[in-house]
Amino acid sequence: MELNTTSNGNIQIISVKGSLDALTAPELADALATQLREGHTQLVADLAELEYTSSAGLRVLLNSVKEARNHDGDLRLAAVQPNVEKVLKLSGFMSIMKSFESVDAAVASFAG
Amino acid sequence: MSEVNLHFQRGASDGSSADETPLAAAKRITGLPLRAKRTFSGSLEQLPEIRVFVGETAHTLGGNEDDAFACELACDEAAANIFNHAFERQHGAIELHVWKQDNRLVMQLHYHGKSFDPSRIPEPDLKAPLEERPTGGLGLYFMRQLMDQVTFEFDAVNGNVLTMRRILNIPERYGFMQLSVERPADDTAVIHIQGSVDGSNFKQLIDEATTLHGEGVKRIALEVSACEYMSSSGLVALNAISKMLRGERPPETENGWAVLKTLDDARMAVGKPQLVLVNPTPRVDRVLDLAGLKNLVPIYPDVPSALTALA
Repeated sequence: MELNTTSNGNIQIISVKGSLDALTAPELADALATQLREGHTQLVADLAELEYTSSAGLRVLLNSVKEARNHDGDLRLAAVQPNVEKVLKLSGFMSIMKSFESVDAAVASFAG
Repeated sequence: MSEVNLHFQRGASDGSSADETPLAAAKRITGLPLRAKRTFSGSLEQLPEIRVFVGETAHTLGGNEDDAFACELACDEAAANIFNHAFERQHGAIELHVWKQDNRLVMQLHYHGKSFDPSRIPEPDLKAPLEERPTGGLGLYFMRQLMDQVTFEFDAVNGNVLTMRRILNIPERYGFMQLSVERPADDTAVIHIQGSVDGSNFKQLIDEATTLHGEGVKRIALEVSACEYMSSSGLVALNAISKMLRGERPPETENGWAVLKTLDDARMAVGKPQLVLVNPTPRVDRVLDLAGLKNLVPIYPDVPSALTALA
């Protein structure tokens, strides 16, 4: 898994590439926790190049959404790929997390 | 033994194409039923290889894309739990066997390590609001959702065995549904449901019941022994049909799960049942239980006892 963080105004965009599993998920957890600790609460997870996630990846996303919302922010998903979407649906997380077609749409959603 | 054991590695076999796995080559050459076995030693860094091994073996043994994906994910969850909990993140070995038995793919993980009581792992409440979502138990939940059977055997001396089975090639597992109707009496119908009831087809089930209702049917037994899967949409259909049979306006199904919250438990429990279920599989039974519907739609083991209760 590879992580890459960019920003657009106050919004931090974390691009996740490769596979999220019990081995790699802690790295994403650290990256998201660092953002939140630094006061960045408007986060977008760009999943365009995320090919796979297990429940370990979902746990990280769920915890970060909770934490971000506790600080009046949010973690929103962008460009979720089919295999990842299947797992999100299986977990029922789609009803909790806001998901957008593209990073631009996810970023724009924070303006509303 | 009419089985071929082999370690799984992509690559050369005489007369094989570049893409042919050794397992596929062995099957082509020997024509024997096949069993793949490989030991994964170490810890979580083994997960990607485990997924590749399982995915490719599932394909070779005749599974479709959905089967391969389900097997990869279920095995990933199982192995991650073993590495994290049974081995407590120390190095250990999982011997993974994959074979086909009739139309089922069987995956068996043999390992030595800590045991646990699967019945004590709570099933996650997928409808709970964010603050109440537990973050544990999701891996086991996935395994049970993706596989048709998951069993654990713990043995401190001989080692533990986790067995997962999945029926291969159910056409569009999530989306395939076939209904057939019997009319044992003018006002009574038995609907046999085969396949899975989910968001893509639950309205078809409501439509069928609506048609029957229009023909004077007041009592329905849903025979679901061949229903592999029922999602929350299936439960919405049960609620809608139940209301319709009681002469109430069915809820707007667009509201999805929310309509279940409007269930009037007490009223449904009194009087003679008009909608009953016959012989649900353990998997469907669990969904009903989880939704608290078991007390509302009575369950009978067979059609005759259901008809007696409806009469």
